[in-house]
Amino acid sequence: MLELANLATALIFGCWLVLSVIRQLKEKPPGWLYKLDFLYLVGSWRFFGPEPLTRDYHLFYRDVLDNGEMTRWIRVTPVSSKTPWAIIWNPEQRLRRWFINAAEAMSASKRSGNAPTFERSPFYLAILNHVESLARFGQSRARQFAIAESQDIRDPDDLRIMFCSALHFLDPDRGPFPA
Amino acid sequence: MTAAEPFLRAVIGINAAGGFISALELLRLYRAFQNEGLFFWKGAQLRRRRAVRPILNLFRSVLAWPGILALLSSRIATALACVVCACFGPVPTLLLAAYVAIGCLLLLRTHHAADGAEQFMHITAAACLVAVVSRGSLAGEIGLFFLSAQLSLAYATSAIVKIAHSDWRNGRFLTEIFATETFGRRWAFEVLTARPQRAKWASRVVIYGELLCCLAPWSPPHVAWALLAAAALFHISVGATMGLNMFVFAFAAAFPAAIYTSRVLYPG
Repeated sequence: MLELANLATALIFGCWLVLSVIRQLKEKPPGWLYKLDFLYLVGSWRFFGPEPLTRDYHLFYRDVLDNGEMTRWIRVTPVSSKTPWAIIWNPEQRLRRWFINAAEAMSASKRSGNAPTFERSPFYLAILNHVESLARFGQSRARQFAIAESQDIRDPDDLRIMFCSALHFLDPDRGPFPA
Repeated sequence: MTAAEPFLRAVIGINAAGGFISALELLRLYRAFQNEGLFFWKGAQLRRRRAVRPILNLFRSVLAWPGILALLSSRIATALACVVCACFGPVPTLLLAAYVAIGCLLLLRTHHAADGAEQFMHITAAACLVAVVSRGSLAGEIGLFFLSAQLSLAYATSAIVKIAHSDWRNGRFLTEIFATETFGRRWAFEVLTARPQRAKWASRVVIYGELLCCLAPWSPPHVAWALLAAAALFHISVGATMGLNMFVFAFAAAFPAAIYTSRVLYPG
């Protein structure tokens, strides 16, 4: 009985290891493995390789007022700077990670030119939902957000706009998600 | 033969310490889970992966706001209990199962906010659970060998994909990573760029260091200890400079497995 249990354990770990090796072969997993691994038990260990993230992403929004005027861009700072304690305690890194994933997915989707899908993507809707909840400029009628990128820690204001969203009318009772 | 149980307990204890901090960090970001936050529940529900949706819906009450607070609190409690139990004796199977299951739900819920270290921790914890649940007399041994293989695979993959790219070998990518606010620090960037060859050599130390560390579990114990000490130093410096704190716990948790493997392969 014990021998059988050992055999079963070895089989489970053996298959798991083979799947893990297969996962490392390409940047994106094969379709069957992607479907199979819905519990995230097979990881990709390419940490920062082959091409790492070498830019920062920044979120901005602006409003169209009732009189038709456009406000200036307001920078949304989703995260604060790293503290000396970041080696132990760095919760903001998760918001950064989420926003990087969002910006890269949206950028790829925008490049593919599929605008209707792009504007229904979970990332787009989540950012829109977040941005719509931010402070308004008195008589704001519609809101637009933009994602910009910068590449030099010494000059974080040297920004390049990656893309702007469409204008979204502001409704105090309803966000972008259906109830 | 070296007993596997104390090493398995060490893996669980270090892993749970990381899980504890990870859950506290998520709790600190509680606003992100609210209806206006970036981790808004309805956004998480729009995930493309079909197999995940039924799980999310089944556990909706603890994954949506405010139930997520209960889930995070449970994660903190189970992680803490695992750390305490691992210090004094075997970790109860039910407790470990609860810790792993809650961790799995959290990873499904916050997948886009997690990095590779979180996933490595999740895999390590799940492997420990399989080893503990299995009734086999060698389950612990097999589990620890599996973790050693995962550790080697992680270091080897990370090194090989970097070696293959000339901008990693010449240090350009390392400089550019440290030039970001996300992963860099200004002082570290300035140290790295103070001399022309510094980034190139730093980059090569990272790449060849990772390549060497993948050999740790399969080396004699004194070599394994030296390699793992160097790896620990590397992860601590990455945590300090890049703010990737979870990497310290994720990889350190697999180190006892590497020591065990080394001691079994090179007894005496």
